[in-house]
Amino acid sequence: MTMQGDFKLGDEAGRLSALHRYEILDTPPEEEFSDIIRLVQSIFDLPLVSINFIDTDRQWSKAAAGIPTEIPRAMSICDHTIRGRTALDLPDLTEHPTFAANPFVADGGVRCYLGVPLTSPDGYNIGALCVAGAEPREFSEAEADILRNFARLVMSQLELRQIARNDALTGALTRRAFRERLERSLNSDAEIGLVLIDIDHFKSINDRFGHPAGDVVLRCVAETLRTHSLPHECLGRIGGEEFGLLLPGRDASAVVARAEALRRQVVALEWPELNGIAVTISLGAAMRRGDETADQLMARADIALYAAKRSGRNRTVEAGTESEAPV
Amino acid sequence: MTDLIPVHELEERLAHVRRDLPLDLIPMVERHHQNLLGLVQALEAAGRPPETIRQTVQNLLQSYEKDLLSVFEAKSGDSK
Repeated sequence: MTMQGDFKLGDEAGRLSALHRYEILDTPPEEEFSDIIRLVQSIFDLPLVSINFIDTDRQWSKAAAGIPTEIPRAMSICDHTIRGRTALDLPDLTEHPTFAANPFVADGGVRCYLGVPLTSPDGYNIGALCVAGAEPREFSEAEADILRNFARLVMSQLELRQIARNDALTGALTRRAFRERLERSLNSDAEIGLVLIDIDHFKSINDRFGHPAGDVVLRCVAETLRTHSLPHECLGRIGGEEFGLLLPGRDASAVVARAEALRRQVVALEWPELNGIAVTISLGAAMRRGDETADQLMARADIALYAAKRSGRNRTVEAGTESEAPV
Repeated sequence: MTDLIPVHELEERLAHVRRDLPLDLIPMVERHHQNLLGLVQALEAAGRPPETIRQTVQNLLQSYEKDLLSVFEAKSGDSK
């Protein structure tokens, strides 16, 4: 039931955005979530347990016992759980007007279900933790409370996972997380652009103005790169003063145009911490070719970045151009 | 709560971990700690055997501390 004034339960765009921030969908199994499944299963003594996330048109399970990793959203009972703030307790699904015809019930023999929402700290139900069984069962309020507490633990585990993936200073993905994201992107057939970005003369900035000023530069450049990127694009800090920007679904000319736009945005920043001197960036852009691996794509972007540095800095060079001349 | 339930162990462990934690991680770890305590209380209220509760909490603690360690590793090894 929708609580009066709880607009977030009806804010599907906000909910999906909250879900996608965790970058959990389509990731490989992780032991900590499988551990939670095993514990819940042993406590409830039920065969079906799952940590489910509800995406636009599918339910995807991070960890599960007895439940497929992915099913259409229309078949998901947890999709109903996320529409409320409380536990969804269904002692006998065969007698329920909404769920009796669900294929898991009608064909799969599922009879009882208890699910609780997985709620993000900003109040969005991004998924559900559920248990289910093949016999009718009345769940007590105490059992619902146990499941709610496990759901909170799933969320704190997700929160920790998210922190591990983000660089504390700049908020960009860490090198490892960026690399994982790049590898996942390369599994699709979409065009993939990669831009490597390096802050020019960063060592001199640190030497002359001190590390606190250097940290301000790193933070502000990262913020500028992020602010002028689209939501599905992805920024990572892959070295001290080096960043990577992943641009899926863009052709070469759009990737290079974006790189140049970012360069101009950074040049336009003002730096009172640096007595007004300008900060510039050099960029190397590369498009994924055929079955190229992440290493190969990174290496070509890196060569282009090096060419940008060598030819005078504060410029973008596209990989694979004849002389790798500045754009 | 019974003596078998490791509430005081949880608190000692948190106090120990806090000393080494970067400031920005403390609220998150405290929240996790509160969630663990909530689970202990919920399991106890549901009449689960103390040994089951102890085992459950210990498994969850180990798993979380392992993740916390990888946060340190990621932050010290990846971006610097």
